[in-house]
This record gives sequence, C-alpha cells and structure tokens, in this order.
Amino acid sequence: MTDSIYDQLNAHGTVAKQRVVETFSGDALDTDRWSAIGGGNGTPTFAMDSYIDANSGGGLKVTAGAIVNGDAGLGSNDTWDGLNIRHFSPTGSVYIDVFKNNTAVSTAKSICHGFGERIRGDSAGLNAAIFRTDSRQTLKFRVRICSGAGSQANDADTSMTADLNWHSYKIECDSTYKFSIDGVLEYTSPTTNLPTGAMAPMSGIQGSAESTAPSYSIKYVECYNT
Amino acid sequence: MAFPSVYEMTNPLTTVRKQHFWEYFSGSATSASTFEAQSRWNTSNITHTGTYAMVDEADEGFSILSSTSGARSAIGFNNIRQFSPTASVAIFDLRRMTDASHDSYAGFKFDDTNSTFYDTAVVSQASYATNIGLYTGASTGTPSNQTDSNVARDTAWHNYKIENGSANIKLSIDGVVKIIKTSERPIKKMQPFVLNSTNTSASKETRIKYFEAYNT
Repeated sequence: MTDSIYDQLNAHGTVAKQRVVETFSGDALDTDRWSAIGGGNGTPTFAMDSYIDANSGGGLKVTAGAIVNGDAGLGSNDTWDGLNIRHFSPTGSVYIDVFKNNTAVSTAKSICHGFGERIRGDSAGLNAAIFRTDSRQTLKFRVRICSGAGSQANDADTSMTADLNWHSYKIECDSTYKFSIDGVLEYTSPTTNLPTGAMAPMSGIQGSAESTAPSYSIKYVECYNT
Repeated sequence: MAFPSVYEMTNPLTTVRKQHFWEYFSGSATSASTFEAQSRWNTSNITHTGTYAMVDEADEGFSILSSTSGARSAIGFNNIRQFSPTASVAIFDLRRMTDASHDSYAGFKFDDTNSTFYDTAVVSQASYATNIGLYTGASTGTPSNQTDSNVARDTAWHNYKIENGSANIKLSIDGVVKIIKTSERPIKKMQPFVLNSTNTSASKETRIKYFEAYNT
C-alpha cells in the first residue's frame, strides 16, 4: 500500500504537474471551480441530477433554454466567449470524462466536451480538442480539433453512432492527438493543424431550430499535464 | 507511480465509471453558511439549530455540534440522491466526542430533512444501545431497526464501511465485517448523511474527517 495519492500518480521524487478531478457529486455544482453560463440564447439550467447511474441521469445535468439556438456551457471563464483559466498544455496533456447526450443528435447543432481555450457551445474557436455531435452532420460521435489559427481540418467521425448512454472519453494531446471512447482508440490526428495555446476543460451545447431544450449530463472530469 | 489517472485507480477506461466521490473535510469553513458555500454538502437543522465548522486541530476533520436538548443536526446532499440501495458503498472515518445521552448516525439515507429512518443504511452509535450498530429501514410504513455489532460504543475514531448489496447490507468496523443484514433494507435511492443529536441540554458533538461513496 502506498501512503499517498501523490505517489500513486507521480514518479517518486518528481514534481506533480497540474491535475484536476471533478466528481460532480453533491448538492450543487462547485461554482468556485466551474463557471456555468449561457451565451445569451435562452436561460440554461445547471442542476445536480438526483438519479443513480442508470441512463436516466446522475452527475450534473446541463440544459439549454428551449428557444432556437439555446446555449449553455461549463468551463472556467465568466463570459461566454472569454478566455478560460487554462492550465493544460496543447502538447502534453490528457482529458478524461464520463459524459452522456440526453437528447437526440437532431436536437442540437452542437454538444461538445473536451479541452478548449473558451467555453463555446458551438464547437468553434481557437485551440480546442473536443468530442461532439452535430445535427447538421452525421449521426456519429465526432471529434474536432481547432488549431491555434482556427483551422478545423482535423474533423472526423468516430466509429460509434451517437446514443444517449454514458461513455468514458479520453483525449491525449501530444505531437498527435488521440481520441478514445470506452477505452477504444477512435481517432489519431496528423501532426498538423493542432492547438498551440493552453486549454481548459469545457463542455457546451448549442440548440437547433427545434426549441426543445436539449441537454447533456457529465459526472466525471479529470485533466492532467503529462 | 502506480496509475496515470485517478480514473484508473478504480476503473479501467473500458469501464464507464459510476458515481463516486470522496470528501476530506479539510478547509476553512467556520460556519454552516461557509461550509455550504465551499463544499458539496448541505446542512440540515432537523430539530433546533446546530453548529457546523472545521476543527482547528490535527486529524480532527469537521464538527457537527448540537447544543439544545433534542437537537438533531445533520449534513447531506439536500436530497440529491445518486446512490443505489442495492449496489453502493460508503466508507467514512467518524468519532463522537462524548458518549452519554449522545446519538450519532452516518451512512446513506433517502431524506436528509428528518430523522425517521426509512430508506436508510447508517452506522449507529446511540444511547439506547450498548454497542455500535447498523440501523436500516425500508420505505415509509415498514419497520426500521438496529442490529448490534460486538463493538462497544466509545469516543474513538473508527473506520466504517457500509456495503449495500443485492442480497444484504454489510457493516465493517475498522476493516472487520461485523454485521450482515438481510432484512429492513432500503428500497429508494439515497444520499450520504451524517446526523448528530443530543438528548440533554449539554452540547454533543460528532466529528468526521473522510467520506467516500460510490455505486458498484
């Protein structure tokens, strides 16, 4: 038995790199750590979900307002398009979460989660590496990398048809970016068109024309530099 | 280094992690309001108003103090219930600062706003029983009761583990299984819960310094 958590996660005698673990358990979202905001379209809600782990919910539920393009996001900045507090390297970091879409792909232009320099429900911007679904594209879980210059050249389907189940997701940021779902590697990026700036954990949603208050749930986030 | 991530300490990435949290009760909270603002917990003054604060001593965690006869002071998740009655575990370190006329309970409970023990699985150190026990109950209107262990009540720190399974509930004290109970088991989803109560006008205090819960 190792006495410390430190020694479980770091080689002996080395300085630990930045790490955050969030379990989304309790009476309310930890707003000392997280900003929960909307982009100005409708009134989003952020509530701890009083369910056991079954696909009905659990964790934190984020719901966009029931209007056209209703949006909501979770990150560390105070304004929708302001910069996050960004502790994680574009060339040496890992993002892990347990996440579920609660509504069909058709209900949202974008449901996204991963690393980004800003809270953006629309999966756009600079410096991001995210899993996403998009009502305007395929019915698959997709990956997107936004480069430091805003290129979305690394945009791809995974092999998985989007569903409403909980999955574990992992993004490894290095000289290439690797995206895994439930422990299975789904996408490896080329070495070009990658983020160049620091990033932060974020997730978000942008609704569609259906005005049906799309939502997602998240019950674990862990990020660390490698 | 044994693990690359906290996730992989308890689950491989091929397994979707279930609800799981741990609480160290370390921090600067000196009142119920600061504790609530800084933590995942909600305070619940079931009867009279309790006092809630971090303890300014080594290895003493967080204090729940009840100072009026009949006072019942608790912490929970404000009835956010994410833990299964038949597949969950709670592990916690707890002590009482006094023994006589002093009851404390901790574990899982459906409702953190009362002290009626339906849909409950808690460790009990209560003045009506000689020993530490496992108090459980099913839904409203059904019996609830305590099963005693062979460990006498005291004021020392103990490590407790409650395992809610599909066939029984197990209580371990300091790493030893003491009770396996198959009756009066909870049915509804539950939340973490710690209750301190006094049966006299003297102040009574329960301290807790670790609480971990997860679904299995």
